[in-house]
Order: sequence, then structure tokens, then C-alpha cells
Amino acid sequence: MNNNKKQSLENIVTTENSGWLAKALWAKVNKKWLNRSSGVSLSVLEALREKEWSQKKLAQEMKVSSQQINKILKGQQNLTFETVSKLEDALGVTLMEIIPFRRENAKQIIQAKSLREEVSKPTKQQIQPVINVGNKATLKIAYNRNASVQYKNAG
Amino acid sequence: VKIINTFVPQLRAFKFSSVDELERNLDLWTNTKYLYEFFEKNKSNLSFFDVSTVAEAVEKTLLYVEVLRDNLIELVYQKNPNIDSLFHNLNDNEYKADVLLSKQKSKSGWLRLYAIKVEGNIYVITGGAIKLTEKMSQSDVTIEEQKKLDLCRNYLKDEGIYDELTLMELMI
Repeated sequence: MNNNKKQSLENIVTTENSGWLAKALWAKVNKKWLNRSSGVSLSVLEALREKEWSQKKLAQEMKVSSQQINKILKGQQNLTFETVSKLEDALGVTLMEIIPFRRENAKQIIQAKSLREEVSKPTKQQIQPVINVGNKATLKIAYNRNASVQYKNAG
Repeated sequence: VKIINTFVPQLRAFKFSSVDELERNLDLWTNTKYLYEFFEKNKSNLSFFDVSTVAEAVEKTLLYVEVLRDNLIELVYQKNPNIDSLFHNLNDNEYKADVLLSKQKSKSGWLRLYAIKVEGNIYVITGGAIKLTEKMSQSDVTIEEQKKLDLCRNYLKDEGIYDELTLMELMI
């Protein structure tokens, strides 16, 4: 290969690295919330379609920039409760639900315990700590394949 | 135009813009808004896949891209990665493995990565697409990718890049 040809090829075939791996590893680590973020984005896109709203209109309703809406709709934003609430208010849909699952779990535990009561007869003090854990709650994304139906009901 | 490293041994990618074709396609396939708009535009083809809503198609794509990314990550960290397991001849009826600068595809659901195989088992990604039609000639996005495959193949040919040796020599 002559030197000129080699020089021209060296400009084409570089030692530069692709950025995909860093992004893929990041997505793997952050998979759980990214799934939730894309779930919210899908619900918003479905609501926009049903209301026949543009993204610009949503931005105006929320008093945020169009760029901000664009970022949300990509489904890769770590959304705050404030942003989710603003989206819900503007669109009139529920995007996230607070599920007091610990309280439910506690009830199930108590029910199971009450079955064992017949054998061991535990005291109130033994059950009390289980009942008292009911103040914490967890989040659940409301989005599912019937999101459009949910929206109709909500509207 | 540049050809860059992907970290996956024996896999390179063309770079036509600010990002290479592997990164660009993975970015698009994880962008909920892009996917939603794409499937909204192409929803008439979804019935062939037993998918009834645009949202369902988006969800499926996000799963397909996760599988594809995991396969690629695995190849990066494997001791003896087999890149051939990821690609097949573009033409399903083509069984000859020794075609010079052959056109290749990698599948994950309806996602496709397209590449040119350089002698010595090096694959250079030329692009990618969401393929919802039976033939590449039946949709604008895959027609575009077909053109890119031809252009890239001719480009490699014109520049005399046929084999691993030429590529590796230039990358050192």
C-alpha cells in the first residue's frame, strides 16, 4: 500500500470508540427507574393523542419549555414527583399511584399469624410491631396496555 | 465517513454523523417518543405481528433492544466471543459464506442491525432499522438501509478494505 493511500485510509479507519457501551451499561444499572420513566412517557403520549394536543400545548399548560416536554417524552428522565404531578394536572390523568403495600402486607401477616394463634396464642405485644409498620408506601406506575381506557374513565 | 471501534471484538461501525451507526440506532430504539411516533406512522404493519396497539409495539421494542444490548455486552466481556452468532447473511437464501464484503444482518425481534462482513470475520455496521415488512423493499426505512449497505460496500471496495489485515493495520 503506498503512503498516500495509507494516509487517506487512516483518516477513515480510526481508533475512536463508540459511545454505545457506556450508555448500555448505564441503562442496565438504572433499568428499574428507566422502565418507569418510559411507562410515564407512554401514558403521556397516549393522553396527548386522545386529547389531540400537541407537545407545545402541553408545555404551555404546564408552563415549561417544549424542550423539557421533549426530554420527558424520550422516557429517560428521572422525573420528580413535582413534574409527574404537573403532567397529571395538565392532562387530567393518573400517571402514578401510591400503594400502601406495607399495610396490606402487615394485614396478611396478621391473618397468617391469627391462624397460628390457635396453636401458640401470641400476646398483643407480639403482633403490635407488625401493625406499626404501615406508614411507609411505595410507588406504582399506573401505565398499562389499557392506559387509554383508564384515561377515558378518568376524564 | 469514519470506521470506529465498538468495544465488541471484530465489530466496527460506520460513523456518518456525530455518533456511529450502532450508538445512533440504540439511542433511537430506547427513545419512547421516537418509537411511539414510528409505530403510529407504521401501525398498519403491526397486525402481522399480533400487536394491537402502538403502546404495545413500543413496549416490545424496549424489550428487544434490551436483549440486543445484553448480547452485545456479553460479547464485550466474553473470553472467546463468537461474533458470527450475532450476524447472518442479509439474504436468507444465501448460504455462501465466502462472498467478498457480504451484506449481513443481526436480528432481535423486528430490530435489525446491518453490516458488511470483511474477510477475517470483521463486521462493519452500516445502519439499522425496525423492520415491519417481509421484504426490505417494502418500506422506506429499510429501502434507505439497503442503499446504505450498497454505498458502504462500494466504499470499502473502492478504498481497498477487503480484509481484517488492512483494517487492523490501520487501527494500530
